[in-house]
Amino acid sequence: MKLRTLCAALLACACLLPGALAENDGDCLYTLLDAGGGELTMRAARMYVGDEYISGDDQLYRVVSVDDAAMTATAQLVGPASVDEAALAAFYALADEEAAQGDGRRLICMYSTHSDESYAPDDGTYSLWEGAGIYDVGNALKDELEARGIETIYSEESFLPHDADAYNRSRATAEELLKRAPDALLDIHRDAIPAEQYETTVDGEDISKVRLFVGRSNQNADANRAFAQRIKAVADEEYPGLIKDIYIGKGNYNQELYPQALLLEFGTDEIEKDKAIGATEYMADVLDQVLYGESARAESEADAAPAAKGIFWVIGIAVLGAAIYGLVSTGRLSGMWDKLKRGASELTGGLAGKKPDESGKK
Amino acid sequence: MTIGLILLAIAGILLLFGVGQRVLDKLRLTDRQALLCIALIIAGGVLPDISVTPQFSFNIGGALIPLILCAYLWIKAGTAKERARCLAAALVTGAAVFALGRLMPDEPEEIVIDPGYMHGLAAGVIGYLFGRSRRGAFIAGVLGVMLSSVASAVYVWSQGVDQRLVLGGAGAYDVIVVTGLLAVLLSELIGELIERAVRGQRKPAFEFKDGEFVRKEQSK
Repeated sequence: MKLRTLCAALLACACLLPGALAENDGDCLYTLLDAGGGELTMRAARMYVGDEYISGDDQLYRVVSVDDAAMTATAQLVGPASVDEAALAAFYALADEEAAQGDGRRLICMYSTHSDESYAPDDGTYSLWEGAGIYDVGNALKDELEARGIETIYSEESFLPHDADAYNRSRATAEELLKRAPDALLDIHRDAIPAEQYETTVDGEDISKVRLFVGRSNQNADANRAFAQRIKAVADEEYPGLIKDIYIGKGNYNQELYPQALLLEFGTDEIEKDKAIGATEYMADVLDQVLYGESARAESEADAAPAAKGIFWVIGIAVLGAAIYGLVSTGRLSGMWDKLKRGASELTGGLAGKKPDESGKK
Repeated sequence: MTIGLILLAIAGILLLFGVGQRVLDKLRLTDRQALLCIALIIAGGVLPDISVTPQFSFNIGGALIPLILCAYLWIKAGTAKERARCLAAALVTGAAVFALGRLMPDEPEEIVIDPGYMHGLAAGVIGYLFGRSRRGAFIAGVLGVMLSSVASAVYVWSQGVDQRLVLGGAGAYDVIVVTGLLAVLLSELIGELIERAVRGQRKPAFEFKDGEFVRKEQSK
């Protein structure tokens, strides 16, 4: 590498830095339309073909096209959103196993990846690096859960700046919280779409709706989704209007770390913070019933197959990647096979596969 | 631990041993050294983070072991020129990772490739371009992500925010480890593709022996 090439590369990176320091403001707003052009919902992020959406009235839609110029996506109605019973049973089997191994302790852990999210009407702005409104909502939920006898740990660590690496930074805290084996791991957020999309009345009280978000690019997606659907089912029965909808979008949101992980959006940046706080009482009640209610336990069936399905996908992709690598590095199938046997021998200390010959050739 | 988590842990460990060992093998480590490194990364990852100051802590498996590995590889590098290239690649990767983090959209659903994997791709390409070396790619990936994390923390601290910097906090699954492994895999893939395109079906001129690549003796 010549010195001038090195200097040019460093210079190019230096040129990128001023632009990099300008924080993303996340002002992209997409509208989801049904096949007839009717508005279904909005999302403060791009939508992708393959994303799924479970509306408030439990209809499942799948995004089939995206128009970036108009910032709209069109979704096809799949039908009523049925709950994957096997995934739900697996979810409860996991929860029951935790309970059986524990000392009867009921524990929920929470954190807020987007540590700056705030509520403009009360906090003065939608983003605060210190004293962000999202922590008031998180602490209100913590208090409501603890009032129901549920031990709650809410990490108030911040993961600034609000950029693409925020989830990488919050991952360490999520891992730390998971060492306590909680019954659920919740990432508390607020949305950034118009306030009227989130306004609702429950038990005569004006509060904010709550959106449940599932990252579909992770091996726990089926269990995460079953968890979200169970929450919506209980909430729809007890407190109709509390849960806005479920969006199943691209990304993993650290949900690959735990089947009982979920992202909750309490209101939007334009809604009064008190309305978001008002939703926490009902949400705590729903979580209590979903995670610890008797009816929940009754549905538990020990069938971990769906939870394992995602893991088999991961292993399958790894095997495929290894096969491509082997083919590229050896140039033919027989060479790849030899390499695989040698690799197996190395990994198992000679118990399986083909041992290197005496000359030490690898 | 639940059945699902046990399965996940087993899958993760298998992947780390399977993939990780081949990766470290390409770094001219012997099999025993490679397995020891992976075992230390996994075991160190579950230990509590070590707090240096209230604002800074690090994880043994997620940061310290990869850093020690980098230092070992850097010292073992063949020439002063290669050592300089490794450091230059780490600096450029650090700047690229920092810029990628800030320029890419902030919501995962808007990003085509997860940032954790994107950093590995960047480090792999930069590491390979700078030295055509697997160890250069590993050092670029690990040090690059660490430098970028430190730069982000310094930027946040400069704004008066008291935020904790945790290096490698997610242990074996931290972006530092993932980036290092991906960078070597990618540079390996690029290297294999180019070498294959150049030499065709001819046998490779080098073989891996006693932790080093040595030129094969020509048959007379």
